Amino acid sequence: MRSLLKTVVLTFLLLLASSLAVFAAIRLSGGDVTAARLPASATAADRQLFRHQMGLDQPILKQYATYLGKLFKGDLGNSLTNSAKISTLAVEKIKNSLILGATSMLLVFGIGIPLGMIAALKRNSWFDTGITSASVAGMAVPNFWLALIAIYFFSTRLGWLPSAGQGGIKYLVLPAFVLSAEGIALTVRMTRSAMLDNLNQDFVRTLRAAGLSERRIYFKHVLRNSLLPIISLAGLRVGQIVGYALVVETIFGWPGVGQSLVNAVLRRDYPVVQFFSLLLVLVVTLGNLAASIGYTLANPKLRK
Amino acid sequence: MSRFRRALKNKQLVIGMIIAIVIVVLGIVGPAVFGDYSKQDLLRGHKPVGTPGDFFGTDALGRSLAARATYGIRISLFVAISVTGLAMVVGTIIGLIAGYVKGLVDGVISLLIDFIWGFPLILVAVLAAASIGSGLLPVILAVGLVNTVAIARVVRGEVLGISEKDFVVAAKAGGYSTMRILTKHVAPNVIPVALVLSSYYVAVAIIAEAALSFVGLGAQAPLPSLGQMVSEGRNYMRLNHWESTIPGVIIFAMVLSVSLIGDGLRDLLDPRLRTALERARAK
Amino acid sequence: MGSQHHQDDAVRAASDLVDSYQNGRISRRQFGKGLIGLGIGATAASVIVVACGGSSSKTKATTAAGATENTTAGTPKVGGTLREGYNRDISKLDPITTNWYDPAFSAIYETIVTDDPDGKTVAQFAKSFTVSADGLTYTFEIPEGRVSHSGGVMGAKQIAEVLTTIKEKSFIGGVSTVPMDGYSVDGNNVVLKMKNAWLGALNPHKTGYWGLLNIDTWNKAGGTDPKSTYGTASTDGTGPFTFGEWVPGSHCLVNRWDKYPGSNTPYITNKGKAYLDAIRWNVITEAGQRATQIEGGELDTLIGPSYADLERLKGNKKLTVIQHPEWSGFQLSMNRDYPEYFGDVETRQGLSHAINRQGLVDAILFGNGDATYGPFPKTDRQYEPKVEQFNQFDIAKAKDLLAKAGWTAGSDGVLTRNGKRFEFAAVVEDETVQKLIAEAVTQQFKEVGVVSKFEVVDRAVAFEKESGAGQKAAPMSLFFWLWPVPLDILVIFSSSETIPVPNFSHVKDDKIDAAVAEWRKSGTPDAAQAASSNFQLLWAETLPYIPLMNQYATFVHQNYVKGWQPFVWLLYPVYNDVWMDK
Repeated sequence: MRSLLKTVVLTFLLLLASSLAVFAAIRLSGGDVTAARLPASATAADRQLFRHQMGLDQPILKQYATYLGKLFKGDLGNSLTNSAKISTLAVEKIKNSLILGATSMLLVFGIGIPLGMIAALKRNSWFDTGITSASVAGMAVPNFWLALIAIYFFSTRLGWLPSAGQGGIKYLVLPAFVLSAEGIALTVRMTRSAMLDNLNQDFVRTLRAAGLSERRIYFKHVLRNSLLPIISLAGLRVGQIVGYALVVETIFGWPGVGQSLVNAVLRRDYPVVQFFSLLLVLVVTLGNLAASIGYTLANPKLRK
Repeated sequence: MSRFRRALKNKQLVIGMIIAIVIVVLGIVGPAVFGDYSKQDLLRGHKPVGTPGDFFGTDALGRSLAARATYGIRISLFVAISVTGLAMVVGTIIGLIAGYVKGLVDGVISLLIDFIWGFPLILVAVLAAASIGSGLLPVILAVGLVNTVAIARVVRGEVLGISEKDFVVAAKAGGYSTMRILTKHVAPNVIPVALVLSSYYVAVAIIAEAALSFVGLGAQAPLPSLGQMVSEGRNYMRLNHWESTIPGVIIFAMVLSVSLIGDGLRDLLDPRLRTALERARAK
Repeated sequence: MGSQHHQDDAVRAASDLVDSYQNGRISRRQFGKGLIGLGIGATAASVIVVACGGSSSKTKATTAAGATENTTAGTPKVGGTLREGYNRDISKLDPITTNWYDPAFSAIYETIVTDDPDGKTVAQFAKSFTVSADGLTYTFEIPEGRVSHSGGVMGAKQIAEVLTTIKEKSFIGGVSTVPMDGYSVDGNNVVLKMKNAWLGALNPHKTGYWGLLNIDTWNKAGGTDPKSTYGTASTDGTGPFTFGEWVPGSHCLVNRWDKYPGSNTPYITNKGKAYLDAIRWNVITEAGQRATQIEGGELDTLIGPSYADLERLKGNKKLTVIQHPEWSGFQLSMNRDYPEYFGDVETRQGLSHAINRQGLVDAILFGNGDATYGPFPKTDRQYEPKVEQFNQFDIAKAKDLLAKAGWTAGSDGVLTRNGKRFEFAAVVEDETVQKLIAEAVTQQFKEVGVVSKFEVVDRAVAFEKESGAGQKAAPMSLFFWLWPVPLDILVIFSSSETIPVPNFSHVKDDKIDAAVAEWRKSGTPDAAQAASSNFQLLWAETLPYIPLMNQYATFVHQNYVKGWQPFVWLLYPVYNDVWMDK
């Protein structure tokens, strides 16, 4: 448990360090902020004054401390492209991303685990072969292309689902499925192989010998043992979904954090890039931390 | 049964290799067969596959889809293989050192490794693009960093296990130098794992390069990256879907082939290594 | 449209004005001050110069049946939210500090005057307006009892105050109001005094940048401070709709203002509050998805579908497509501060002849545009067709001219002169159409041994890279200009007074300057046409820029949407008349 605590503390230190690195990289490379904010006719003195007023002439560590201080007070600055308050903007974007991300997580496990289970139980059947092949393909298909295909068939051709935007649940279907496709494939694969491993274990034989029903063995013992590592690593899926959301949100015009970050990078809207990248770094780190804690808890041997 | 014959019996490996060979051949001979990827004919835009005279189709500016896609293969393979190859070498070395030397060095390295490992490649690449601007360089840096770390992580885990083994303990007792023990006794046991793992990371790298180019942060025109082709073609899905289908299928096939090769190689490996691999792939 | 009668008026007015125009020349300093960082809109805005009328008769609406529909027919039904697809991201809804104005401006704000479908200036917020015989005084009668959305009084005093604020504090105001002396109050009237007569005086007042707002609310929210919440969290105009929601990258929503007293504008038929409950603009930056969404019934109206989808949309019986040639153009700058490349006219002509403009129109715009061979699009009333003798696509001629200019092909086919390879950096904005143009042009230059290396950057960055002085500006940039009121913006693009912005080519040409001056002095319609023709021919021959093409503005609506009528004089439809028959 102590080592776990150490991991948590060290992770937060690293988080701080990496967020500083991101902060510094963006500040240093950000080009000339004055070019974006001041007229071209501004003199060197004007520019210097502006930098001073914005605190841009301070050492980077100090700028970072100031930034964090403001961050905790909820002052995230304003977008350079549309002057929106980033704090207001962020609430809406985070909400949207959470809806999409949470739905995708549900799909990853809600679809991946049952399919993997059935495949394992019906090993070598046509169903197993189909599911296994589909999961190999699912892990190989680039999701941005999958998105185009999905839009083409389900929106353009069949007209069943809207291709972009927001509204009711129907707007969520395509982006959530595309975003979770690879996770589903991976979960199927992991569940299946974990189930097969466990079915071959000694304890199954013992339980059978003890006269337990197959059903009970599967659902109570095998499944539990198989799912533990999968669920405990759920935190890793968070990182994966965050990464793909950058692309998928853009295609489906889903106004979330991913789309905003990509657009801000393209537009060199540095205050926005800064906040959203720090946010995503935080989310991914927490996901990883959850996974490593989960993994430790699920594997008693690792608990020191 | 010899290793080779065992390999031939492995369906995944064989299919993966066949696809890989086809793609590599296309990448090598494509530009010679299909001509200049930048040659345009504004009167012959948006031709579907099968059009007489433009059998492999054309894009918005009447440029050959085949010529562009095969050139795109080169870019993809260059980025994915060269960078992952480098990552494998550096990652293996880091993993060997951390796992064998232990102590503070290992503490620091593994902390960093664990931290970076969980980061999705695409996010790292977007952050790199935010810092140094769009282009292939941020993709290369991101692929290099994330893959190095991923490989170092698994290698370190393996080394930790191996260094407890009798033969290593014996070698140590025999007074062999650390260098010798690492290269002669430890490395040969972990390199297969690193190799197999690398094939998966080639896949990840291909997808990341394509995705970054797709959103406009990767390879810049006039270089015909596959992701960028899908991106340009997406505006013309109804008119001529081939403009995105051809590069899309190629990316899919490339990723599929390296995944299959990875799966195939894994099955040829020691079962103990398989668990390590599966865990590494949980990402 | 564009009746002869009106055109004559415009010509007469134009000639009256030109005499006095010279006094009010826009100084370079003023340009620099106001324009920068604004991009297209600003550049165009800065050049609200002498007017030239326009024939907008090309506007056409097509339904699958081929009939032009009277979209205002029937008895209006009240209610519903109009869902409008929009092809750009939305800027902040503050006329004074925004970089660009989006369609929501025409729902939230009224301007003091506006254009009618014939291009005639008519009252909007004002009850009426008059111009003095000498053209120096404009008097706007302000209606009594008007309030803003928040209930603030909008009398003559307040209107004069907001107009003055726009003139003094808005980027656009700083450059567009140059010959204006200022606004004052006279009873119920706002009086605009000019330094010299200027037909274009009212043009800026018709744009979204002159949207009337409650200046107290604006000041309280932060004024020109970048952290102001005006336009992002609230607005306070006098238009038929009030601020609802504003989420950049996603959507913008306005709700009907139930206290709207009705419009003063003659051609707006609805003299009461709006029929629609609300309007929601959905930002759809994925070009291919716009058509899909309106076909799928997710949208009621759409601004700017992808040209690739147009034929299909036109064939859809449920939809009506409206198109008109835009007052816009794509052109390539050639920075004269790189004389080794662009210093001599033969080289510039050689480059221009290498470009297949019709090919660009056909391949990239799917024919929805016109090739341009001189500074103006064909839509311009003073367009001189003789410019078409220049700049025709002719590779042999291009090579010939380049050879004459002293360029010889090296072993790799790239031209060299005095040991300098013809290879230069260029800038293009990250936008589907412009990127394709840059790629196509690069290849066409390559055919004659010239290497252009376009860098794709965001709009703001592109503007930064093309607007520098000397060699701080890229050797070449692709520029797109767009402006909703008829004006002669390209005069300013090539005048030596406006280096480096918006004279991105840094052209300092006595002949062009003289032609511009001549045009501004012309006293009769014939003289104005002659001077304009002279300018165009000179421009087309000496090439301050390489002209490429203009495009057609395109609007689509479901047939059940009535009264939604975009026309060439305004960028966006007027929303008070819109209702849905469903």
